[in-house]
Amino acid sequence: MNEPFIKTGGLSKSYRGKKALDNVTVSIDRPGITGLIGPNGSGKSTLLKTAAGLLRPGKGSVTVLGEPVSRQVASRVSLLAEVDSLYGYQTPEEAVTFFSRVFPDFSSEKAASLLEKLEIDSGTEIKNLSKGSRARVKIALTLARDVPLLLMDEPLSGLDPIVREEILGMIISCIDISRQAAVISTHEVAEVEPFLDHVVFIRNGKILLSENVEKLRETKGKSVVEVMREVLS
Amino acid sequence: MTWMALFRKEVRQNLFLMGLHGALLLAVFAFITYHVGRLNLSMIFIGIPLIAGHLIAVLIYIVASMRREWKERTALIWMNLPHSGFTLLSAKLAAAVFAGAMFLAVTMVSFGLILHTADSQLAVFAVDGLGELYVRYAGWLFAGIMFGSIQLALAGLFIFVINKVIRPFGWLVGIAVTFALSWLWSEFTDTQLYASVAHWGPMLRVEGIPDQFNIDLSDAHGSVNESGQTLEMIYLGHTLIELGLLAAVFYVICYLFDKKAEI
Repeated sequence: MNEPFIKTGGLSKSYRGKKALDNVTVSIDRPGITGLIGPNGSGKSTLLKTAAGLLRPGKGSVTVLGEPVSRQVASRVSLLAEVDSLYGYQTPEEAVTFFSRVFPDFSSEKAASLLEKLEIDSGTEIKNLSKGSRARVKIALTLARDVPLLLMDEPLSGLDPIVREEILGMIISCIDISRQAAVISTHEVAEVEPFLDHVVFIRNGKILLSENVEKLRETKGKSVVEVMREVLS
Repeated sequence: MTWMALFRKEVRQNLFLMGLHGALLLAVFAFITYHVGRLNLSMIFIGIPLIAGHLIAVLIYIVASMRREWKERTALIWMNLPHSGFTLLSAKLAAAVFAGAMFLAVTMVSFGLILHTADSQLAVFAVDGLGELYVRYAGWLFAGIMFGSIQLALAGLFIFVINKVIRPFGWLVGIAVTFALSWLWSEFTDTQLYASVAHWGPMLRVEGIPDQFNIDLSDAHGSVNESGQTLEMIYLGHTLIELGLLAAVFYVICYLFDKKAEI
């Protein structure tokens, strides 16, 4: 039997006494796109960083593909951070070369093709690109890795609607939903709803609902947006 | 290939700091040269603290490099690289050692050239022959400073990583642990037991240093002859043990980085 992509059991995490995750038990068993939905400060980023091995669980457990997470889970997990995290001195072209040397699963061809499609100026230092362009470069580099699990923290945050649509299209087209699991955290559901296979609602560090989207529509007869309003209100 | 790519990244990111370092050296040596040219020879001795100051060079480079990853948030990429802590941290350490060693070498060669130029005039200070002595022990001086510099750098790296393991005030814990362990190690190296294990293979003999340099070797680990003169102060045994210790400390840092450190 295949191991769950992510499985947490009684996971809690506090920052200086304030609980960011509170007894979170959730499992993402199948490939496809999962929406991790919750308001700002609900614990989405903490959950993703913990799954990526960048934060230690305070209590409870986290496994990725059957193994307890540590920093070295990075060989199977690609994390897209919400903030600018690329090396600003590199040009996109240099970043592609660097990534191809440090990530064994990185496809330079895929990255170059994505950057070309997105009309990124490959010769300009990343720190000098516009916010939208930096976000595109970051996403192109993340998607060019061939890993079982992609964790994307607010990939559409702070971008204008046209760029958001473009980036969302790129994410969807690059994920192989037959074998990869992607977790996209967001607090704006309407845009991503058509692409979601699974949703996890989180608020105040607690999982309020974790359900297959089809099942949700069948049993509740409501859209994800409507369920979100009901669950998170 | 991965390690080289990381090493190149670190060197590239250190360039600004290296530029500042180079500019500082240039300014100080321009100042010394100017004064030596005007026979204000005492200014030559500014070169001594300048050389000794390189004890903290590797520490500054490595801590600046680590701090930069967090400040610029690139740690989110860097810590997500699917490579061992040893690979990531050794590339950083190597880039810091490279910068520190390069500038120490430049400083020492520049100082040597100035000494060579002014050696005959230094008799005024009753330190004639300083140039010759400097050349004779320059290799040891370089190795000693680099060795000390790497020790301090590892202490700084340990404190930085502990600060990412224990929150809050991990840095305070790191400093306390570093001082406590250093003190314990220093006490242990003063024991007869340690001397019997480590004091073999003398490498550096200092009996030839002229008296006028007044070097106090009373605290050095060495053999003393009948007239109380220190003959040897660096042993191969002691050096190998310290190298082993540095490797062990680096292993612990890498373990903490891989298993316990947080973003």
